[in-house]
Amino acid sequence: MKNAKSAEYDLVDHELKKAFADVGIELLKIEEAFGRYAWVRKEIKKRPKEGYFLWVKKQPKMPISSCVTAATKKVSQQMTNLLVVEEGLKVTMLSACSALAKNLCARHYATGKIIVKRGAKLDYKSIHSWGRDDFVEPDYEFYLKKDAKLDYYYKSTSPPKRLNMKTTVYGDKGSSANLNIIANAINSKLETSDVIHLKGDDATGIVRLRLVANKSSNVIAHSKVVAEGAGKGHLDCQGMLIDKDSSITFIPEIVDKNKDAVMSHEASIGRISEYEMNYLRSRGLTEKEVINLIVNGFLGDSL
Amino acid sequence: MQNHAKKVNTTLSIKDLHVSVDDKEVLRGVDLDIGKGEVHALLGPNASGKSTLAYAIMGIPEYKVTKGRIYLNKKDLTKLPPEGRAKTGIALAFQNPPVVKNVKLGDLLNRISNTGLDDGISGEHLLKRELNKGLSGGEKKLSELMQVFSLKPKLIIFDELDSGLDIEKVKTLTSYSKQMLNKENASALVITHNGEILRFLKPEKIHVMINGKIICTSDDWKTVWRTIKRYGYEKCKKCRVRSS
Ligand SMILES: Nc1ncnc2c1ncn2[C@@H]1O[C@H](COP(=O)(O)OP(=O)(O)O)[C@@H](O)[C@H]1O
Ligand SMILES: [Mg+2]
Repeated sequence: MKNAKSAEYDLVDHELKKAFADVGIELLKIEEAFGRYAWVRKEIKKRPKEGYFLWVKKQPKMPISSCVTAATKKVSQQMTNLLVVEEGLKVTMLSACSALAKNLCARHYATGKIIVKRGAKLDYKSIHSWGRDDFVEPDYEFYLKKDAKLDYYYKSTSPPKRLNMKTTVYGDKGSSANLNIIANAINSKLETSDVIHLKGDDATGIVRLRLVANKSSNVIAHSKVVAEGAGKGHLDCQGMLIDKDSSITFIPEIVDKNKDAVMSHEASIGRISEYEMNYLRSRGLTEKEVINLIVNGFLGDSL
Repeated sequence: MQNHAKKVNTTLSIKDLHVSVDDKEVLRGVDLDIGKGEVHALLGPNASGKSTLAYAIMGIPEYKVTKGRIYLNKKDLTKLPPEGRAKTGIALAFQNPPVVKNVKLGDLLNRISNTGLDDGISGEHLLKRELNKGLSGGEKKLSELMQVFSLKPKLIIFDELDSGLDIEKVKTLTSYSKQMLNKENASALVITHNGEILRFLKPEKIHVMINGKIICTSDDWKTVWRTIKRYGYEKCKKCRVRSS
């Protein structure tokens, strides 16, 4: 059977179920890479417990995938991941993190460092699907070297009880970062914080947030772009508030340290009006169906 | 005045309907019967309560029935929510449909449709558009027709299908609607305050509403419309053609 992946990392609880990579990609347990390479020790500093080391040295033919699953009650994962994409390569990374059941009370901490070298392009798609009592804390840093490009797409289809997510991007000259963070908070507390540092001239950073708060959820999203070079930054924060017991807070922040930088932001929080609701109910949809229809449209069904 | 000799089954039947909005009584005892396959027109000046009647039949929660009953094929709908009434077979083409961002007409039709898209109406170009967003007056009406006919209802209420459209558009939309109604043997209540649409519609019955009451019902839409055009709605109260 032909493999549809160029490399695959599959972890369930703490057990590595699968780890393979085509020629030109080095995939190791992060603990091993830490012992083997001095430069890895420099990048990561603290001795890691579990996670992957992925070093893409040749152009892969297929996407690379990582799948991390929580399967037993009260499991606590502490991932450290390192992904390096060498110069000029184009890589698609598909990352899935999920809980096998809705009631595991799992904890998932992940720190990641992703280095995209000169002129390389990384498409990073991350899908999260958690249980209602889980606690999830991802903290990812992306280093974009000269002219590197990142398209990052995070979607939380089934949110945990608490999501604390940090995303940081450092963009050198001519690099571009597109962050899309999409989540439907249902009975959960969701806090996201993303920062893009436009370090070099002509670096671009765009953040697009699409966040829904439903069923007593609290959403706080802090988005920030800092222009050190003459770059371009834009924050596009859109929320949708569904019920009366939820709240959304947007804190967009643009910091301009270069007179030639172009920075902007927009933020809005919408709702479903009574009139829209009645209109669609008159087409035979229940209130719940109307909310699903509008929310799915708002979040987009791409990917 | 000749009456229809054939006996028709009643599709919609409204008895002594009183409806309040914002604690203000808008409909003050409306009786209305529409037979199977019949098209009725409802005329009346602005603010007489025509849309209120439409919303009350559809079950929009703001429009509270304080007295009276609404039946579709003898089933009492008065306590049903709008989605329940839609499933029973009532559809409303809204006078001013709202913009619903993030929902494409095509996606809604896929979701609600009991039938494929009928090619008798050229609305394909609207399928990718968000509901009513940036649509012209005519496109909004077209979108409404696509939605209500896709539900295959037994009774359709058209609230001011003709408002703001040129006469050619009114003609096209009306003849399409008539054709669809015939095909499904569905009934219709066509609300208007501009009688031009009547020429294309040729309704079986015409009703005039003033001040929350139907004060005139007739089989002869031509005479009623001529009277209104010549003397205004006030004259209706004393009109001789009244035959209900
Ligand atoms: N949602 C509403 N809130 C308050 N008043 C309303 C509402 N809908 C209708 N009305 C009032 O009810 C009366 C009848 O309105 P409507 O049914 O829209 O008349 P028509 O369709 O015949 O022009 C008007 O006085 C109008 O102001
Ligand atoms: Mg009206």
